[in-house]
Order: sequence, then structure tokens, then C-alpha cells
Amino acid sequence: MDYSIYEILQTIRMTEMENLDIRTVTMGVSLTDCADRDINRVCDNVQKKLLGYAAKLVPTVNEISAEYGIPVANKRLSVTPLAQVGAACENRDYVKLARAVDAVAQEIGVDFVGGFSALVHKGTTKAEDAYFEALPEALAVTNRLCGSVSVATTRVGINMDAIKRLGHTLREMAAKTAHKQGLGCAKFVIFANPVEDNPFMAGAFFGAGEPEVTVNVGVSGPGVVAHAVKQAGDCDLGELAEVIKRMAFKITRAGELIGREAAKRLNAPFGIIDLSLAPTPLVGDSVGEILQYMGLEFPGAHGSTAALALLTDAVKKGGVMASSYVGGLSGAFIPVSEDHVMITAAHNGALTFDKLEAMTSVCSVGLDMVVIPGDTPPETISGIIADEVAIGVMNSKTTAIRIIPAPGKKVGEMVEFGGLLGRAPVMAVNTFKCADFIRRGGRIPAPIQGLRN
Amino acid sequence: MNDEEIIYQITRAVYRKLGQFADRSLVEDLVTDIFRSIQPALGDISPPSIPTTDLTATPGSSSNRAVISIFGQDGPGIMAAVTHVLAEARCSIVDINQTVLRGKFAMLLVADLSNLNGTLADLQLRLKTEASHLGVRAFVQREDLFHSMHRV
Repeated sequence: MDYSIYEILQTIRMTEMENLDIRTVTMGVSLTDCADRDINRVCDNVQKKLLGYAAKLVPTVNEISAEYGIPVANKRLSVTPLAQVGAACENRDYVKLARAVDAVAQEIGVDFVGGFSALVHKGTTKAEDAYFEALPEALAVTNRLCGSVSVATTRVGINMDAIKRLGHTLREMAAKTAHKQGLGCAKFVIFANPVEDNPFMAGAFFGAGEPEVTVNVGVSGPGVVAHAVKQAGDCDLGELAEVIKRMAFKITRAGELIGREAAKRLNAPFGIIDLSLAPTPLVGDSVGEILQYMGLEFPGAHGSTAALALLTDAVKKGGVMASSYVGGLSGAFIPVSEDHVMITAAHNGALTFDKLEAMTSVCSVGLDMVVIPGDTPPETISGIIADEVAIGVMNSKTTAIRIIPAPGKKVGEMVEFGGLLGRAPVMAVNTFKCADFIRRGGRIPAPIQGLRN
Repeated sequence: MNDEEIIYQITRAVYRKLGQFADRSLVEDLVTDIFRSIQPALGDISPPSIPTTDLTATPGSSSNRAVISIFGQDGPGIMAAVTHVLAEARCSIVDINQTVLRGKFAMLLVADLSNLNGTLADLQLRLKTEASHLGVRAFVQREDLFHSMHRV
């Protein structure tokens, strides 16, 4: 036999007991050719095009999942930033466009569609001004649509005018979904250095350099890595990195196989595989658990940033060895509300907001699913965003912010979102003011490391 | 399928019915009529409404083999039941490995699906149903998964 009993058992154990899954198969579709002067025709074009390419996405992926015995948790779409798609319209009714995309996503049966997005890292166009106006309403009246905004890159610097505006936008977004604890904000990400082929939500969009259509895959598996780290026992950290790398290799290989098979059956080119340890609220599917098995009492303890740096790097190295098309964000996600160990750590005081920010300098995303008091001033929210994107810009990496100023909630109260979004305690933010700094606006110049030509 | 291909397929079908020596102008008339009558149903094929790729095709997987793993309490008839299902589905057994460890039964079997009778989903269902009757667990997975994960 070509495979040992051990290898076959290991594969089955990964899927059956350690929650290895393909987190998402995300079909990216370019909508640039759907533009029109008439918003109704844009909506019509977009719906026809998405149905044309993605009508069979869900059944096809389900079929592959059954054949390989690997669960595929989500089927999703990512589209060209809709701020650009609707830019040519005389009546820039972005809420209407949002509703149209949401409706077709429901018809196709995908879990989410990402791309209610705008790229404003150097400045906003008139169309993007209309997009910003529509943003809180659009995410409040839709269910499956996710949005994102790029406000900074290492090449151009940081658009502080947009960040100033987003402080108010997030408060408004939370207010419009107050009956759902501010859920609108959970579907919205602010980026520095965003990637154009990210399959994960809420930050997926289909970038300008992408082809007509591709299939991108996001693989997860914190449970598998946690088990391997636990089994490794009392070894030194170099050996531990090797153990994580080997496991990341296997997970990536499984993901690429599923992705290529899906691309073949859907007659679309395969794009990238994003290997990101992305937790869910389930026990045994947690990045925090990995940090605990590495030797921390809780994430947030001193040593957490170093442990996370080792983990993120080993995951990337294993992934790169396994596939030539590793892309997206690839690394480790540390959302608070979606990881039961992180929730406990935030609740018992081990994990503070400031330590979390430090950890994001070495994780693959940023401040993710962090709940802050509902009365946090917009300028303070802008300050949080500016700090996080500065980390990304100065380190030439992607950073993201998905924070929820939960209406009416105070520090320590628990906020429930349900499902994959989980639950989180409201974390304390620094209450000293930064309003005068934010009010200055303008664009923080690109750092010297951006000038690499 | 583009218009030219559709016309070609219709022409072939007409010749097949009428024979090689059918009147050429009659065939041309028939093909034109048929194509005109079905054309509205083909819909608007101008961009961006319909993708150029044929999404109705479902090409097979790259692997024609499956790894079947059976685990559970040992008992009589497990091997017989599994091989019976495989024979019915016209799957040949390429490799087989069976061990009993402290009363626990583990059987790994590689089956060739080239002549599979029905879909892989059917075979999975039949094996899982049979396994549950016997009190064991069955996993049926395409073989290339193991190759991808465990071989560089």
C-alpha cells in the first residue's frame, strides 16, 4: 500500500477530531464590465454576471467536499470594489447596488459576498464620497454583504482624512444596527496594504489586477496545529517551529487540492491558497489554545507576541513549501470574539487592548472582532484605526481593523453576535483624548521603506 | 457552446436522420429553421450576462481511485460486506491492508473507480449504511488527498 495506516489515520483524525476544514472556497468575479450610466442596469448586469459564473458554486463545492471527506465550511463570492462599479452612474445609489448584490448572493446560496469596498488610500473620488454616505445604511439593510476600505499603503502613506471620517462612520454603522449589538461593524474591515485575492471575510474584494474570474481557497486548522504542538511535548522552540511547519504543509496541500478541483469543475482558473489559522468559537478550533500549548497561561501574558511571531512565521514557511500559489493573508488570525480562549483572556484581564495591538504587529491581520464601549468618541476610534494602519504601513504588511463600538455597552459587559462571529466582552480603550491630532487630517507621507525603486 | 457549434451539431443530427445523400438545400433549410426557432431560448450571449465558459460540464476528478477506511470493533462479515458493495458498484480492489489490534478492526482499501457504476456519492452512502449495520465506521475519500498531504 502506498500510504501507511498512520498517514490515513492522521488525515481522518484531522477532519473528524481536530476540525480541519477548508474554511472557504471564494469565487472572485470581476464586475468592471457591468458599469452603466443607469443604476438599474448596473444592478441587472451584476446579478446576471454573478449568476452566470457562480450558479453552480455551492453544489459543486459540496460535491467535492463529500468526495474528499474534508468539510468546506463556507462558499463565498468576492467582487470588484463596488464603489468603482457604481462610479459611472448618474444616480450613485450604492444602497440599491448593495441590495442587488445581497439578493443574488442569497439566490446563489453563498454565505457571504465581499466587495462593498473602496480603495481610498491616497484620496477619495466623488463616487467614493457617495459610497461613504451609503456605507452604514448599505450594511444595515443587507445580510450577506461585507465591506472594506483601504486607507493606507506603504507606497503612498496614510489617508488621515478618510480615517477621521471612518470614526464617525463606524459609530453610525453601529447605531443603525443597534438592535443587533452593532453587527454592521462586524461586516466591515478597514485595511492598510490590503491584498487583492483574500478569500476570507469580511475583508475579501476582487482587486483591479485580477482576471475575469478565479477560485481562491482559504484553509484553516488551528485544532490540527494545537494537537501537533501538544503532542510535541517538552521540546525547544526551534523544534516546535518545525512541528508547526510540517503541519502547515499538510493542511496547505489538502487545501490546494480542493481548490484546484473546484476551479477545474467550475471552469475557472485557480487563484491562490490562503493558509490562515482562523479560529471559530468551538473548543478545539482556537489559535489561543495553540499559544497555551506553547506555554502561555493565557494569550496576553508577556511572551505572547514572541509566541505568535513564531506561529505566524512557521505557518507561512510550511505553506510556501507546499504550494507555489500561497497568497491572501496567510498566517494566524487573532479575532477576539471568534476564539474561546481569547474571549476568556479578554474577560479575565489577561488580554488588554494594548497588548492585543502589540500582537497584531506579528499576526497576519490586525485588530479583529474587538468590541469597545458604545460611547467611544469617533476621534478615539479614528486614533485606534490610525495606530493599527501605521503598524502595517511601517512594516510593509497588511493590517486590518474590525472593531465594534457596541451601542449602550460598557466595559466588561458581554456582547453576543452568535454563529461564527461568537461573543466578546467589551474591552477598555484608553480614555485620554487624541481629537486634536485626528482633526488635523491630511495624508501621512509614505515611509522611507516605501521608496524601494 | 457558441452559435457555430450549435449549427454544426444540428446539421450533424439532421444528416444522421436523413442519411448521407439527403438533399443539401433541404438540410440547409431545416437547419436554418431549427436554429431560428431555438435562438431566443439561447438568450443574450453578449457580455456581461453570460460567461464564455461552459458551466454545465462536470469533468471528472483527477483521481480515479478512492481510499476506503473501515474502523471499529472486529466482527464476522465486515470484509465480505465491503467487498460485496464494491463488486456491485463495479469497483476493482487495487490494494488492501487489514489489521486487528486489541480487538479493534482497521481495514484500508484502495479501489479503482474507473468503471464505477453510479456516482461516488452513491458508493459512499452504500458503504456507510453497510458499515453502520455492522457497527463500524467507514470513510471513503479520493486517493489524491493522501498523496497531496503526505508526499512531497
